[in-house]
Amino acid sequence: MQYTSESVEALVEQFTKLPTIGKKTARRLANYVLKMPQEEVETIASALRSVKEDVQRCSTCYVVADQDPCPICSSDKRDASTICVVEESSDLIAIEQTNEYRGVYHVLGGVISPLDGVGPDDLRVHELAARIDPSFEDTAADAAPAPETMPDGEADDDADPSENGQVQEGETAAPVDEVILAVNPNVEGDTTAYYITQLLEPFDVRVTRIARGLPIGGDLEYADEATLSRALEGRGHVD
Amino acid sequence: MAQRSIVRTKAVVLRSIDYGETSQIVTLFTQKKGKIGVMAKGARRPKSSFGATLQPMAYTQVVFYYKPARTLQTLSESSHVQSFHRLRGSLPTITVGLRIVELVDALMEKEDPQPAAFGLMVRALHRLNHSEVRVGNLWPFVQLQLAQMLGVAPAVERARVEAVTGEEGLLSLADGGVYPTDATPERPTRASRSALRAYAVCARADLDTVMRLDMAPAVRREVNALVRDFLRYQFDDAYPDRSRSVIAQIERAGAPGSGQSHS
Repeated sequence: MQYTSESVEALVEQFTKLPTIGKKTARRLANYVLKMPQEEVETIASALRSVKEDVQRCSTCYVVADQDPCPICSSDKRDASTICVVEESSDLIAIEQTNEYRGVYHVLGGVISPLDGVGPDDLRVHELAARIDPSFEDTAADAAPAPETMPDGEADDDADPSENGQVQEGETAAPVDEVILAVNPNVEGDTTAYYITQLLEPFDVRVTRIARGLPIGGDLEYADEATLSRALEGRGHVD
Repeated sequence: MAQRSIVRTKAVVLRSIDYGETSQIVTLFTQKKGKIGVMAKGARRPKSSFGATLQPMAYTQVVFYYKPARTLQTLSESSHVQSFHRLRGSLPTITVGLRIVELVDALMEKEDPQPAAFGLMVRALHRLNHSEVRVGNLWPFVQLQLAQMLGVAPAVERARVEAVTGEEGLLSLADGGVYPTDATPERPTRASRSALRAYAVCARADLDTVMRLDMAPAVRREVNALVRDFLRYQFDDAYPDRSRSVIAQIERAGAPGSGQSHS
């Protein structure tokens, strides 16, 4: 039996496609939209449309932006010799809000997560290497052992070598001195950091990782052993 | 009426999935209750007391409110029994560790306590945390030991292994036994004598002996393939495969530490 209008039901159905939105929340949102002034609803609809139509990815750092290259990559005030590697565009925003970093970025588009089936080929890892050394593609092709020489002996039939990164024709890559890995301090972040470190080993570039340890305002007494160990390992001089 | 209780038990974290703004749904392999799902509210807050204890492969002491009718229990406390933080210090140890947790997650039934399997997992992670060489030996060992605990012990007999005198022998996928080529076991698969002998060691010897075993890369590949084929035959679709292609990608990219430490 139909208790409400088809349009409302359609809206509820669409809201449930959003993450963390269940049927009840979707119904509450739909009821709220019904009560909103017409112009506000149109503003939301227009924002939704333009986010798909106007937004693109920077072809250098892969951040979500309105123009390509993005304002950070095209700015001459940014230090292109330092690349900060982040998982998602939202991490870039978090770092920008600190006003402490003047380098450029590289957005991986995720992290290596073996348990979720996400591997290096699903991320923009090779694009990062190609930013550091445009000849990476050739190097990778020469250096990569054939699948049958893998230590585990388990060939990956699905891998597509053509998905490696490419530097656009005519582009002159600025020399990169340092790559800062700003990935989350969890197992997936660790895996990604070790992988990138090993991948970049042949290049003349310093690879660093942001510090891990206690949060400001935290309490030593309640910190777990792993976090404390990391904090001790990463201790620094008192300025 | 369902009996509520407070459970305090040792556990190894198998998986953590973000939920909502700050929470996580965590799959634990516990000593007392077997595999169980818990909700860790606020676990992703920077000052959460759960800290790093809910990361996959963490060995923790947990307290949760248990209610049989619930599919997700509520986690109250979690602290490290041993942090195993060195385990997360290199790609080879991370990848072997993750494969072990993936295997246990896939093969264990919910709320079916398996103390022997729990002990095996803790021993394996402990060894990974302290070993720098031959960490790859753990993978076939853990798989075959777990198979044995789940009732499909490989029927490896010393006499039959020693009867393999030529270049090759057979592995029966049906019983996991090693046979000479003139035998006619059920579901045979051919393999080199070296690989079959290494397979037999992984199936029958203790962990210390297995960790002393030197395998050439080609033999290791063969042993891994034999164990995989045996378990896949026994457990069918339950045998996990998701991490395999990812780890193959990692190793193919010429991760030097990976190759050295595994071999």
